[in-house]
Amino acid sequence: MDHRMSDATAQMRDLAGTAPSWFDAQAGLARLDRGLTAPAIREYWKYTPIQPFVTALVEAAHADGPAPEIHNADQPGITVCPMGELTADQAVTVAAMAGEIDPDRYPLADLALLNGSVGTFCHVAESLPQPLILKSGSNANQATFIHVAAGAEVELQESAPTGPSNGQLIVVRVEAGGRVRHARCALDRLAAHWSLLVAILADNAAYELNQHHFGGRRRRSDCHFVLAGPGATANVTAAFLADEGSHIDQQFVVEHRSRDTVSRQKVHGIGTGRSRCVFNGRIHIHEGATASDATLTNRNLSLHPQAEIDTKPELEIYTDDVRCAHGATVGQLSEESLFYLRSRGVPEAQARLLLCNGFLRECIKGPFADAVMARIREALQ
Amino acid sequence: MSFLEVRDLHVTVAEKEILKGLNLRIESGEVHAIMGPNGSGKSTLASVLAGRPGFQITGGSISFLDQDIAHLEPDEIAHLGIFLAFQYPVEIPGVSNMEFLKASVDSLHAARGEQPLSTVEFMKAVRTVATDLDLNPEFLKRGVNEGFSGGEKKRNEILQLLLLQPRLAVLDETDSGLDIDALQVVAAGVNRFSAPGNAVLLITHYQRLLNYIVPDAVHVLSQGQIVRSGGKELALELEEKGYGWITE
Repeated sequence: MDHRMSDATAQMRDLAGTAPSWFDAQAGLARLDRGLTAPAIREYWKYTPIQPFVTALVEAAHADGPAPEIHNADQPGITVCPMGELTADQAVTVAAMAGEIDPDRYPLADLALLNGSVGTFCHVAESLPQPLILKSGSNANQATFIHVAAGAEVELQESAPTGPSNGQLIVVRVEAGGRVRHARCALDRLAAHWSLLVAILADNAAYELNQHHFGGRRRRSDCHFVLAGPGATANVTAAFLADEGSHIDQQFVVEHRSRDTVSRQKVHGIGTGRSRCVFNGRIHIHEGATASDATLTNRNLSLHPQAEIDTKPELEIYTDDVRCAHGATVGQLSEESLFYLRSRGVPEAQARLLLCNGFLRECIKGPFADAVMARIREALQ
Repeated sequence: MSFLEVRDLHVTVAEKEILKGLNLRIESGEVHAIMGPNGSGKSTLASVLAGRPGFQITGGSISFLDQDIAHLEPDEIAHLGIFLAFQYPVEIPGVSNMEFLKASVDSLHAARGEQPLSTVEFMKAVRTVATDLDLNPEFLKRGVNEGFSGGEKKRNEILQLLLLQPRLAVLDETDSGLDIDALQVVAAGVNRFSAPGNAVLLITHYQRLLNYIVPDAVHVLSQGQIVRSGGKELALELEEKGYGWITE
């Protein structure tokens, strides 16, 4: 570990005293030290150095920025509690949810938990008529835990904050038959933005994620789904765009831990200008997860000679009787499609724009769609 | 002034010469049909007229409304009034028919110096043409040709022809893959387009389309050249005897 990393973790030790009572801060610090120096971290953070995030997030944790807000939290059926004021039962729930995070793969999660005094816990006991709107504090590093009760349905709308450096840990557990629709977008070019979404799904629970991210100065987004109960379903559509001078690293993991689980991942991305896009999609089917059905598609367009796109789909299967398909491509705009549009009088620049918009639009859904498309048009023009 | 005049046209694709001195003249108001065996250069001619990239003109000229179009870009050729109905229309998921057609109509109106259609005027125009062609207007919301059957794709080509109002329609085997009902709908659309100020160039393998669109002239293309021209009766003769008696 270099001296800047040591300084950062030393600063986190100062914060350990503010960690919530249910969280073993010393164990968290030990995991953090181990995770940041483990050999595996080089693979998980191959294209995006982790150290600047550590420094930025420690600084953000020390900054006295505004606390995260959850709008529409006054609806019947929801309980919201600051992380430092959890009841004993709530603490048990949160600790169990935190226990699902792999510390070796996600060491930065412990940074957010050490700073858990500004985090929030939500319990959704029944279906909510209004969406929950998550607004992270600017220049912050914070954790949000959401527990969705059996049979409850909730819509989450999350837009990234605009401060220079931000860290967001969001952990969602959906009990049997529960359903979550989660739209999230990050359209601003932050200096450093790290986020980790972990979703744990019980029997027949369903999670639909629409994620739309732009490249930042440094942006790293991890999404980890655990299909823990039979019949659980995760459906991900994501679009990303990196323009001149930006960097985006997106990692998706879906663990099929139980039988009859289904996952769909469709991710389209564009690299334009001198930019860097990283995509890693991993499907892990555990032993005993029979009749699992998983697909992953990542398609990318490289629109500039110095736009670099690294994509890697991964499959790890430990049981027979599964259906699994994955694929990744990096290419250019279709010349045939371009000619078709131009043969109808559409000028080349506009035809290219239409095709790029269309390529990303295939993966853009939900309440942020209009804002995302407007941002895409701005970037591509 | 000639409407379309192709003189001694030589075209190379991937370093292979496909058209080897082709001559063709079409006047305003005429319907011409080009027939010929596989590999004779029919689709190459259609592509070159529309300015498709990758087709290198190595000799000769193409004049449309007294303008040399041999080296123009595809959108510039479209602005002048040439429309190519594709043999295999492209599917473009994510780009809706509505968005695509509006962009096309707006571009052509701007090129002609006309006021752009309002969205209401545009929608009305599209719905009218779609109904005539037995296309459900709901198709406007779908991606360009996405999930269309072969017949729907060809009808969408004719819808564009009628909506964009070019001067010359080049139909590249538009009849291929159509059942009789769809063929009649497509032919009716082409006949509706055909008018004194316009012209049609039909490229086809079969005579049956010419039962519904009566040509003023029929040409046989073989090995990159037009080797025989005649009236509509030539198509019937080809149907009966094949191409061998002309091309051998």
